[in-house]
Amino acid sequence: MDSFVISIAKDFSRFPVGRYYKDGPWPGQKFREELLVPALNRCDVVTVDLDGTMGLGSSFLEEAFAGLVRVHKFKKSDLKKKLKFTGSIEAYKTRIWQYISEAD
Amino acid sequence: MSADSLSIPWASLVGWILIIAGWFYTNHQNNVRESRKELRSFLDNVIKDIDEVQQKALEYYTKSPDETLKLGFEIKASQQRLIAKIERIGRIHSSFKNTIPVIDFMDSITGNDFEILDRKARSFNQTEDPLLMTISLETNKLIDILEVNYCSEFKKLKRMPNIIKLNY
Repeated sequence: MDSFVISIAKDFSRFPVGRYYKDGPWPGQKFREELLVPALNRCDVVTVDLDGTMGLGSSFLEEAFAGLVRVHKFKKSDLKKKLKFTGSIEAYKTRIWQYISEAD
Repeated sequence: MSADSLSIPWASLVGWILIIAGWFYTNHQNNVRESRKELRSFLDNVIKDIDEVQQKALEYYTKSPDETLKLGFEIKASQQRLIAKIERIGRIHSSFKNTIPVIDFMDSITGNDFEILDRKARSFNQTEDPLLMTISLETNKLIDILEVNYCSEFKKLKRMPNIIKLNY
């Protein structure tokens, strides 16, 4: 089983900002399109490490993760199997799963 | 050996048992009191942080995006520290384990059009602007829940329901 780990802080930015490309250099859309989706298409399990950033805004998290369902049409049940999270703050993980389950 | 001579060691033993039990009880009470004081002090600190994040958020949304880039980073960093602190309390005191109110608070501040470039500065009116009102309500809700959790931790009051829905 292929697995892959993405650290938001190390592989993307310690200063993720906003939702869309126009909002700044490191938005949720960019993280999703350039790191998350290719990894999910390539690997069976993708683990996202949420530690190490200078703070994660809900707008960034919503766009990055709910966008997988909303824009890229990933099935929620597949994401439950393929996507894992590590990090010291439980609230981020809980909220990301809420975003995914609420996404249409 | 008479019955009187036997009763003296028994009386002495009962005396010692009472002294030891009393010491354990007093020690337990002291520990509870110290633990309550420590938590109160930590909680006061957390509530101060919540207020600070709220003030920063109100300032953020009432200014234009190009004035608030630094403030946005400050809010996210403060919020992250705050969530970590509240989660730390939950690891020690079971009454504080529920993170839903923290998530709602986080969402009210850094959700919506946070760090969105075409965001417009809002006029400072907490009673009319839905977003500013939500931020204030979620702030109050989080503080209330933390206070109730504090009471339930030590006074065995009924805990707050896991999810409180605010309708506005």
